[in-house]
Amino acid sequence: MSFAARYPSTPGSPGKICEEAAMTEHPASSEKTPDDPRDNTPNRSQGYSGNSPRGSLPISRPRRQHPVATLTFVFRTLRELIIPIILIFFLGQGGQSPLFTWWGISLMLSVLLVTGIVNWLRFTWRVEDDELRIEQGLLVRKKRYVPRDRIQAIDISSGPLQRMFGLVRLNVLTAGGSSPEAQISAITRSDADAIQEALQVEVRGPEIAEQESSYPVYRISRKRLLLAASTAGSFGIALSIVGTIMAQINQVISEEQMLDFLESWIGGTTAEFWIIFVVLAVLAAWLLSLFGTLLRFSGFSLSRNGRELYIRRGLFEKKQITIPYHRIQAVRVVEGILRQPFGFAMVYVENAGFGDEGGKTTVVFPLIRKRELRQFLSDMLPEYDVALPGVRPPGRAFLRYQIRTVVPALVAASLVAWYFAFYWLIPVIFIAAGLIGYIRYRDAAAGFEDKNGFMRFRRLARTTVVFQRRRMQSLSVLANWFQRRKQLCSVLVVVASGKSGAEFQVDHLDESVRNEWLGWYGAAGTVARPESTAGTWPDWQNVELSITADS
Amino acid sequence: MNDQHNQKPESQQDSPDRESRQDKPVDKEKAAESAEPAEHAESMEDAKSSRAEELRDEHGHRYLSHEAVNAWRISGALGSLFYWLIPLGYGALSMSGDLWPEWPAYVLGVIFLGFTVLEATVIPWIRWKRWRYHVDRNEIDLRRGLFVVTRTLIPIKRVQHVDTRQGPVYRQFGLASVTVTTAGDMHEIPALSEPVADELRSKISEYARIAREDL
Repeated sequence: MSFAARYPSTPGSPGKICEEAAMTEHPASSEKTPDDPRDNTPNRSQGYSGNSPRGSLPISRPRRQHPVATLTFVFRTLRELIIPIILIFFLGQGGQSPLFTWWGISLMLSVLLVTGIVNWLRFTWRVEDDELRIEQGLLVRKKRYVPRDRIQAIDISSGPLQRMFGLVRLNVLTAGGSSPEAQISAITRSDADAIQEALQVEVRGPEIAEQESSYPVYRISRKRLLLAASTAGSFGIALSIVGTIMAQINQVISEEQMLDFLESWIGGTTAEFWIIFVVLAVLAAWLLSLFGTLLRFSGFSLSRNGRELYIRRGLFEKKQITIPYHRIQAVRVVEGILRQPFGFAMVYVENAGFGDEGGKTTVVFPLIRKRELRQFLSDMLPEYDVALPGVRPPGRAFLRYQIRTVVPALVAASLVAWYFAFYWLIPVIFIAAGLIGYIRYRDAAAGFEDKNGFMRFRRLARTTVVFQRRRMQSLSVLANWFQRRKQLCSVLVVVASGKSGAEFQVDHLDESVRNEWLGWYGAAGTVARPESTAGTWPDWQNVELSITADS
Repeated sequence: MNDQHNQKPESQQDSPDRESRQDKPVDKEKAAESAEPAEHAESMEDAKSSRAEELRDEHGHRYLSHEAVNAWRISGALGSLFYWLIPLGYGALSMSGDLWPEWPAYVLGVIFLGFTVLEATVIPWIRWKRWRYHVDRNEIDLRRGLFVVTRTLIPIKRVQHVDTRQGPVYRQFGLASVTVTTAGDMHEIPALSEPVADELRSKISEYARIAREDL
């Protein structure tokens, strides 16, 4: 069954390295037996050690990937370039550009294919001296040696292409965000197992994560997914894409033509034209975010073992994300403005550390009922299932919230209104901004007790963050001139998230919280809980879950 | 902490007077305010700057080098020239067509001129007066801010690395800043005289090493 037999490698790498490799008797595998007593990790699967190909082809020799790696390179590059290609297509002369003739396309594809083949030829991997050694590159030889004790985990996953050929992709996750991370994009499962065995790290794959039966698995139902997608409203990116396309349409059909068209159809004026334009743009953006969310979260499942969370998601390409618990810095529950009325929220974790997907803000559940949250947190993130005393901004802060919301909105609205002569826009925006200012004021809260703290704030979506004191990177208390006049202050907490950090801030609290927060976080640790509190947060109710599907 | 708060309006009120007396030795006032009055050698710049850093406020927190005021005057004034692009750009726009009136260019020009003058005179002085820092085995405590008064606590355990930095202006004044990086953010203690900055950097990194070993 091993593909390895069909491509025994004589790599094009410098001869010296080959010799070195040949001289070394694969030391890692020799000191390791399948029944190694040290290896008592709970979720380790015993099934793989049997069909390891150690006997046939030593993994200490430089080896190439499966030739399918050529194709995975081509597809990956195409996918990375898809947005530039679309932009060039729409912003350039579209069909007239030489890039988009059959000649141009086949030229691009053959360049990609040749690059892929060269990359495949020059890419070798081996396990030697307790290191995974990857060498690649045509002109610049890149050597990435990952020592065993730096490896946090090995992720094994497969995209559609790998599945077609019965292969896997192997990702090496290392501790610390700055250290190297290695990827082998197409090898046989047995080679992957041999690597894992030689390096004595546990493999994480779907089978293993779901063997664990003592913990529940959370999956998203079709209905829930559709609801999540239709309320996603990730308008920022969607609108900008729609904007470019609309601008392009403008070049094909001039504004006058469109106006003529509209006038003959519905007898519209310029204002009506713009309203229709905006409505269409919003609709297109909504559809785009709908399909984006569907693609991203279909088949979402969240499982765990004693040490880490494990996420699988994606329609065409399955993504696997592993988040060790000790890397989680904070849990963020976001109630989008379209979702909050229905009692739904999205749950994120902030995590420090490695990987493209694992090392920053990660969605741990796309859509959950607020009343299911307590259960969810106690199942999956027990350290963050807390109820903490907190305070809300005092009444005199109301005006500050209003000013901060209404003034920028009014400035923007006045400019737009003046430019388009839509003077009715000003009162509309004034009222809308006033309402948002009010809910911002109403929803703000912050508090702590002993080891945990929380913050709740709103821009448009209401966000509730729960964090642990020992995970905080710094605490700041700020007060600007206006705040000082009213004896108010803001509290800012920074936690690690990916390679940088995430900041959470609650504005316009009473000045007394300054000393309480500083006393709580300071080394002296003089304050355990706030002196006077206005309630307990986060205020989710505890009810039975309807979507838990135990495995 | 509250004391710091109450201090603000006062220092804002008397800062203009101070500004006029700026050329005269400033040490006198500073020393009078601080807990530990030191004797001065008014003529010597060096002595002045090193003494400023020895001063402690009522919490025992340190001040920055007094050279900071002059260094910030230069860097602040130069930096504020950048904002002149706004009135200049607008001016160019209003010249080119009839659509834009000219008067906002003058209004903006006056505002930005005022801003540059302030940056070259009072603002650095107030900023210096407000800046305090304290470092011990457990944490770094920073107090600062002109319009937004900020206090930050960084546990020593969270410090990933410490650097000293020196730009061209700081080099001219023999100053350096110390930057402290955590896993989530970066903090700067600006404008310390070079030896003080070096000492502080090695002190923080030593404390951080000990704190990590204790973990």
